[in-house]
Amino acid sequence: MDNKDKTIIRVGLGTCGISAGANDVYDAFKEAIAGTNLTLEYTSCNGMCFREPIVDIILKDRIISLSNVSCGEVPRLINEILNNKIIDSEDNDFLVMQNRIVLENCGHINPDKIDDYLAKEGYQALKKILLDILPEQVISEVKSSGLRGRGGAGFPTGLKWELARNSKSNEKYVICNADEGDPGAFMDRAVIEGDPHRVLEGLAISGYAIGAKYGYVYVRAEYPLAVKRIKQAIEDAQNRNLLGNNILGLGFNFFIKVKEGAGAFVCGEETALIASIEGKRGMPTLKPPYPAESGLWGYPTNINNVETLAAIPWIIRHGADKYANFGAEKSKGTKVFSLAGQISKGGLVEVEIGMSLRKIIYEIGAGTSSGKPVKAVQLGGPSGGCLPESMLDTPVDYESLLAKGAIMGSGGIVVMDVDTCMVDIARYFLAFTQKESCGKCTFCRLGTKRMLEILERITLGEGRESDVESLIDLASKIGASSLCQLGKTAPNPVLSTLKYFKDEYIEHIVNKKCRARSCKGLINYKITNKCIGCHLCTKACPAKAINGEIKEKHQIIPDLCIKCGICESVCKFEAIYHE
Amino acid sequence: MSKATINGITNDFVDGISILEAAKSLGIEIPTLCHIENLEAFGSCGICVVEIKNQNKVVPACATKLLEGMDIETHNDSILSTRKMLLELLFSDHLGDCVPPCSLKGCPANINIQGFLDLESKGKYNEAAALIREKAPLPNILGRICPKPCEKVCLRNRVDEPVMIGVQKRYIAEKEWSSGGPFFPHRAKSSHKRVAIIGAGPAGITAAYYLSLNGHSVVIYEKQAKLGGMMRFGIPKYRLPEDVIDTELNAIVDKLNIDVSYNVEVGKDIDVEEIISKFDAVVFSHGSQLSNKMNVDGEHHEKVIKAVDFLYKLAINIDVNLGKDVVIIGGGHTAMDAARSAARLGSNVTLMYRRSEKEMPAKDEIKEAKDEGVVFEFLVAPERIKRKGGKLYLHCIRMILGEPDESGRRKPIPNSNSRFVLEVDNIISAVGQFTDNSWLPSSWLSEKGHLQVNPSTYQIQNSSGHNNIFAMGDAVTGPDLVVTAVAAGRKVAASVNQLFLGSAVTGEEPVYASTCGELNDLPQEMFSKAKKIARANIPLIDKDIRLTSFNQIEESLNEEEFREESLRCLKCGCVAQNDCKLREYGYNYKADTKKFAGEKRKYEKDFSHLDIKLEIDKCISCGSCVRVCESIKKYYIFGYINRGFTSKIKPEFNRRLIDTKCDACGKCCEVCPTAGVWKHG
Repeated sequence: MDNKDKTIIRVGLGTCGISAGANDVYDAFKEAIAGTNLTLEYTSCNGMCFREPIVDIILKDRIISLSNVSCGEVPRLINEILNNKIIDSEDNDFLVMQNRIVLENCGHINPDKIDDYLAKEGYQALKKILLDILPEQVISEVKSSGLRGRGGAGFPTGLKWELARNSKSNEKYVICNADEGDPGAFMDRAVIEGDPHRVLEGLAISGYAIGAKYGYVYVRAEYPLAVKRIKQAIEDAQNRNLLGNNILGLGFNFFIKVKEGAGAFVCGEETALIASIEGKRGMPTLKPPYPAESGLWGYPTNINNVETLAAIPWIIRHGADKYANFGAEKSKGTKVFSLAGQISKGGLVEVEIGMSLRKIIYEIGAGTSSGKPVKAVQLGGPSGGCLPESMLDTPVDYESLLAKGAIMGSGGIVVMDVDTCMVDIARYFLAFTQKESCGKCTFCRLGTKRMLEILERITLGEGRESDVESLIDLASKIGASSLCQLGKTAPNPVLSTLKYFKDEYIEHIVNKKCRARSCKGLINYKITNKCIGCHLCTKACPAKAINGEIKEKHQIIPDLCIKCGICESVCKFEAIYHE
Repeated sequence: MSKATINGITNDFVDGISILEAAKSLGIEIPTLCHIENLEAFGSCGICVVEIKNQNKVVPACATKLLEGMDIETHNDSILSTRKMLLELLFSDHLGDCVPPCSLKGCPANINIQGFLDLESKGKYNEAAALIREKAPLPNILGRICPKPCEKVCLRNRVDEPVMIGVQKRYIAEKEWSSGGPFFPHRAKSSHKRVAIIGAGPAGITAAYYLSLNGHSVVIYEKQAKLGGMMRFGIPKYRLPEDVIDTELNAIVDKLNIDVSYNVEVGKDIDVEEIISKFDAVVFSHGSQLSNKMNVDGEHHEKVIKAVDFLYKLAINIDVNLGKDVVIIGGGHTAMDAARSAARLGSNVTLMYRRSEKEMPAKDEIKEAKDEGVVFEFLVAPERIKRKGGKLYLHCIRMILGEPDESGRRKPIPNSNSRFVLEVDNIISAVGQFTDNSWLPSSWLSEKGHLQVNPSTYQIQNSSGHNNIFAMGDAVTGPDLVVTAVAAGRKVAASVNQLFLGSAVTGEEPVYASTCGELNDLPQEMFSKAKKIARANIPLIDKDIRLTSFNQIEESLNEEEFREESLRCLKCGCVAQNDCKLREYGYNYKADTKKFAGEKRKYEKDFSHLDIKLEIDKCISCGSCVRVCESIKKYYIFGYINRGFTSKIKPEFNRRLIDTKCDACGKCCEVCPTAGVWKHG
């Protein structure tokens, strides 16, 4: 029987799937298909993390996609497949509005099989340029595609390559930056786990273009599956002569090494990343000199983000014009976003740059998970900013977001509903960057700490009148005087929340009130006269903070109350409320 | 060459130089904490920031190459405020006392206590005395009568007992005198400026001392026939013998050519206006000698004596006949002096104070007074005094303590059911003094009759355009410590000196210092390695003998005992206090060391190495030691560890320095801007 006629069961084994239990599901299928003519296969994340574990049933004529599959369902599903009764549970809206270039193979191929990639025109772009395109022409193609760095800064990729190409040196390096560290961002992980060869191909093309013989993939060690798959991919590509000496007999030598990062967020910054590869502490240095002049071991070096490199093979295969057809005036192409936070359909989406936030959140992401209105969206991770609901019509492109006080960043979109306290959110992001400061610059090391202390006291209800002014003063000086982008952008979440949600800061400081009721220091639980002294709350209170004789009105002892809210939820007489 | 503009000066600069170097070539000093000449720029500290106006950018001057066309400002308002904040941030994470608390917070005159104890321990008494005199010219007197606020904040309180500081000054002075002292520094060349000082008390004498050393000619007008003011006429001889006053004060007046007009009462014997017109500056330090009233009926009876008058008579050897039973009313040092003097005259003495022992200002002498038979009645106030036969009947009421008042002490409230009457022969009232300013121009005085002075310069305000009239000491503050008057005297001398030099009169600069915090808030680890050593005690003459005379009651210790005691000093002051860029810049930029009070780095020292000492808690993470060890020495001993606020520089892999291959070359110590790393000896 030909493979094409076989029914294939394909389990999504990306990190998101595995953490939802997909490995067990895979094993259950493995056991269950014994003795049948069904084939079991795996792929990686297709972006619909909210549906994991996802199992695709590939029939002769169509693909049926199953969501949230559990081990217990497996025997029934096998039965249904064998009896042709299987029903598609796919939720197509999620994909309809997307344009998948970078993610085109994610969730469709087995990332550990080079043949799967080759079957999808894999390494055709590399072959094409090695056959008959000069490095300068490759660069000009990338330039005219309008591709910009997807790691956050949005620097034009072709120009970056050109600078590195023009640096005179016998030795040069290219580096793939897979040190993805923003809270709520996971697109690089998904691309490496789901389509690792595409990244290698992009890196090889960049090496060819700038004249580098060696490439590094700098990937964080906290992504063990990505590390495993990219290493496997390198080995397989070398075995097929798609990497190594004299690639495809076309005279280009290119080698790739994997360097695992030890988990410092700042190593996503180019100069710190280079220091880390060199075996030094990951600490940024002042630019200039830029890596294009003096990078790894002092040689000209080009660093691109995973997503940027993953777009390259497509651009070479389809042409720059086709890529540039997508997107906005100054921001061409597509961008992968990770939808996270209080969103119904969290996962990865790849859309044309310039789509509005509202479309992405409501039409693709199906609104908030709570069903409550959106209050704000945090874009660009801890270096980014919070935009209020009223700005959801902002097109998502580099310039428009920057003008509003946020950034595209690596593409994290964290959705927050009305129950989110914006001061607390600013505190959360600042706490992240403060912890990740490398400690070199005074303003970043200590300025962010003092800002954090101010935010902490505001959320505890101990804010002072002068705090807003102090925050702004600190933020502007930290922003102006830090050496690297981590420090320069660390105050952004505070500045953007202060810009759009200043009232909330004032309420916390002056009225000692948190409208989202999430700052526990500002919540007080009270018992009204409706209390009949039933003792339910007394028994439920984990802090033993409620006093009262049976059948008499109870009282909460404020010093003991931990503000967990259990009393309010157990009271049957609506006698407990919080303010 | 590149043409660029720095602070408005356009110049051609050598290609490739940094903005820092370019500015330096124009004589513009940009501060830096991390820049090391001949090493690649690092840019960590951030204090060298400058603004490139035409690029709208702030950059570190050390790590930014000067390029053609740049328009740079190195000291504009925004840069200055950035540097100030940066220093404030560094201080917020710098756990160090530049100056020890005894000197900074304890001593009103900021005497270099750690310094003189160290010299004393090495037997360098003359040097120790000279060091004391840099701040206070009366070491012997202060060594006897100062109530030692320094000892209250001495960090040794957290180990065992404070170092005995006060008496050491007296011993140092005695040793100096026995070798031919007191020795004073040379007087500066005559300035031909003349200054008049009204009153030869501690403030007046101190001001005269420093002004004379600065080459000014000083005339003191003194109402009494002798020098010393309240030191002589208010403090009993058993605490401060007359010959000590004579020796210490006469030496100053004689050796420094200070002219004293005795028995001249300004305002009576000579007009204030006349003095003002005759001198280039006039300093009023006339003390505070009028007694407050008790405001009780019957206090005008002849057997109700004012403590100030009582002590004055004793000082000039006039017999005072006290009856058998005497009550002293008040809780200050004057009350205590009166009580203990009365005891020496053979009376049964009760000291009555309206607050409790804890609030009593003179509580340091309670034990000695009790030994001498003085009975204490706390929480009692007089209500009225009646007279019957030869006796006085003191009607009293007991008090209870209420909420703290403006002075921070709990306010006594009468307890109406607790009245009682004492039958006594004399009552001595010591309930405070006030200043007689009636002879001064009324425009100088506040509504309440107080002298109004500028708190920094001590210039009298509203002195109709005069900037050369000053006032200080008890005359301004009301009764206070001698050491406080001495401090004021020195500060006024600084102001007068500024006036005479023709510079702006701003007063003496307050000591600028970083501190670790208050005594009781300091981390216990700070003291865990300090060995307990028993404090020496100054023996007192036997109490029975004490009561028979006004001889000095404090005896002395021998040289070895004093030396041992001086070695108890924990040397809390920073080794780099005079060579610290953080302190220097902090002072220059007026950085508030407490602006960003918050979590601070933990107490952490590595004294494992014999020669190189690490005070990680004082490190400002500039990385200079790391780079110098790496680039010049190639030893790679230091490195950054951790991230975020907890990041710090230590020997790599968290080792102790002794466990590294450090060969004590000291390069790191040379580049460290603070005392993060320093070389012993």
